Amino acid sequence: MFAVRLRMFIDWHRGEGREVKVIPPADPRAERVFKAMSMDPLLPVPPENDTIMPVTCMREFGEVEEVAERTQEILEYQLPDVSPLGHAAFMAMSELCANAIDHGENDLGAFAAVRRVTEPKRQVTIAIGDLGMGVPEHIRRRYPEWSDDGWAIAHATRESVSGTNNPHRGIGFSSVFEAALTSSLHAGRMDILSASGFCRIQTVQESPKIEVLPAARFRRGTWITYDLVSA
Amino acid sequence: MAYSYALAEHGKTLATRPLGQELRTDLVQKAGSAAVVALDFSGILSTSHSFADEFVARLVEEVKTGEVTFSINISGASPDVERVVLKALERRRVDAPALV
Repeated sequence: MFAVRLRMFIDWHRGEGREVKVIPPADPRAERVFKAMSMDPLLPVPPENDTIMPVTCMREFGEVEEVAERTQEILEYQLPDVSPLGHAAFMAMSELCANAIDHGENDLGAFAAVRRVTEPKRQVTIAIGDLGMGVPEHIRRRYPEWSDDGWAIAHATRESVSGTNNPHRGIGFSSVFEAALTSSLHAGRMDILSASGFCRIQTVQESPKIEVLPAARFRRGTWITYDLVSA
Repeated sequence: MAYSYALAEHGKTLATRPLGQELRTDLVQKAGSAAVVALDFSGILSTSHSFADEFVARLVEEVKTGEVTFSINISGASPDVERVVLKALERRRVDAPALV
């Protein structure tokens, strides 16, 4: 998530016409990861083994199609140790990035990155961020009584709960959790931070376990980190 | 007369609701007066639930309400794709078309 946050910070300030000078870390490994994750879009992006998707800005649904497909293809065809997570990663990228564009409603767009982690366990980590209205405000369009931000997020992850008036919407989060329920998954953990809410969903057995935790501070937009740990 | 709509012409994965809407409109135009339309998922790695709802489930609803006059069957779907499509149909409480 650090990479996504930093890249959004840089893009936002540059978009406002400010000059931003970025000095990559001095440590060679950290510098390689910094560049491979495209934290500064002006620097060349060298290949690096664990970068599945560098930080990518999306403003249109066609771009979501591309990043979701590329994520699944890289996982399934190039990274055999985490390849069984390809479908779950595709579902997370497609549903959550589309949500970020659809409900985020922000000119800067949505940002996402995907990375493989090999220690202590083999896993794929997805980070998605936007500076839109945030999940609690969106969900309160239809459910104004859900005043606590953390619980508003928790409710929003349930099937058929949506800030729109369309009864067929509100399937994004539940379909992401459903796709993760495979024998290839050891555990899944999603952290959603938005406004003053912090909700954590853990998938270990059949059904996701939802916790509402104290948020350290207010955050504009929605910030999702999703770890898929391979069996 | 039967018409086959090859989804693989639009990518190996099918991810978003707007794409589902675009392809549903495209299919209805291209199907013309066909009596049967096959949704050919051969070569598709994955579809999202949003795409499946907007493309397949809404199309099946349109068949049910008579908005479109053809019948539908689904072919070439992998187990992952089939599971997502069947779930989309279940959510809208419409009967699954023939899976061939």
